[in-house]
Amino acid sequence: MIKISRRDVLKTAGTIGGALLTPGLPLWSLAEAAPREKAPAGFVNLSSALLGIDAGVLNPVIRPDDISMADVFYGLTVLAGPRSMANLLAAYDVMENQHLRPDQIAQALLVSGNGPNTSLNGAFSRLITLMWLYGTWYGHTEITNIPTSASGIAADYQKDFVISSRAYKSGWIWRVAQTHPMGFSQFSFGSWASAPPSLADYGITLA
Amino acid sequence: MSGIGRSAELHVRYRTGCAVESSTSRTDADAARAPGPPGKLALAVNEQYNNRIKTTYPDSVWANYFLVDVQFPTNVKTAGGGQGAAVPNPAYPDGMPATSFLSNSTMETYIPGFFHGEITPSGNPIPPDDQMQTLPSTGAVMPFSSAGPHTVSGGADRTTSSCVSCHSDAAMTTGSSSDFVFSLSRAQSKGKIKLNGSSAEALTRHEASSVVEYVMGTRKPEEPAGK
Repeated sequence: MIKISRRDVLKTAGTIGGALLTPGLPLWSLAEAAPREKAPAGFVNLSSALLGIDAGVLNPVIRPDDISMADVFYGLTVLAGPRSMANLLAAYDVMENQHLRPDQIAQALLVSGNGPNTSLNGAFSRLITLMWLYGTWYGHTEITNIPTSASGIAADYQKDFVISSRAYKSGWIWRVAQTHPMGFSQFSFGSWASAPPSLADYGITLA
Repeated sequence: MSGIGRSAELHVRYRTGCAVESSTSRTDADAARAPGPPGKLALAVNEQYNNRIKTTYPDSVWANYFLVDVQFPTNVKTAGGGQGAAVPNPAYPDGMPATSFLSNSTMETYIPGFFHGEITPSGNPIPPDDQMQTLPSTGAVMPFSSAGPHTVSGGADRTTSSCVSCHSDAAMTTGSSSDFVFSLSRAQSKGKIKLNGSSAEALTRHEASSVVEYVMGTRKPEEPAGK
């Protein structure tokens, strides 16, 4: 006679439940999103222009666990919209060759008249900026705000999701705000009684 | 626990080189740039040292240890090395270590330290040496008070599984940073051990070695001769 224990029932239920839920889980919401490919210099420089943070600070040569967030983010954008990303990098190259300043490039990519740039270059510029700041892909938010952006974003990426725990922890918004993310702190017990580190300590310089 | 014995883990500090660094002539930057999974370099170092121990000191207790991994800072304000001591970046007091996660699972399974008056789960009193010290020495820790007192050994639970992130909490008896060394928070005022005193009071090399072994948990300290 086959004995079915409570543990067996739970395991079976867990397996079935997991199988049912898995298709709905975002592809990239993992504990660790591994870099798919090395980010080209153009992507790092574009990110630097959009964020106003030095490229060497965004993508340091020496990094924890040798994982480059630039590589992680670039790999995601290529999956989310290969043609859109190629067009954006080409547009950035043109502006860089015209010797535009980084802030002028950011202005050209993000702004159109008195509103946001509604082209796909604008969409991916916003998505890249938000990725660096929050460690989150805001595909759904982008399409909600500017529906025409959907034409350049792959179906699987027309949703919002945290890219990985490392991406969340590495979000630049915490450093811009001179604080730390919830659930992680590099500071010591009692640090809240002291003034926060300066923006310069984070490698952020204000023009 | 490894099949070859107890595991030991060497903590790397900003300023002073550890045995691994000095013996392999590798720099912090070399280690952080080195490709491969965490622990890959440590495996190579283990093999090198194990061979050397077997050849030179076959009966050494260190033959039963292996290096799990080391952590190196990836972000400091001023790089150390030939130019002198590195200066930690206040934005990243733990140096954003590589490898990110590393803990000593055999000797540091918890954040040590109890408050005065607490008892162990089995009801025994906490030895004074295992109690967290507070500055000043009386009164409860006031976490929201900038004036203190604060703990200087142990402290609040941290959301980290990293050697240097925890050790970056270490402080001297004055409350200022002790460069990752917790034991300095228990430094005595004067007179207990005189390293530069008379020959009768100075530690011999053997005694100093015993202290190191005691700290590493491998040996009980021996009383100096004549006591």
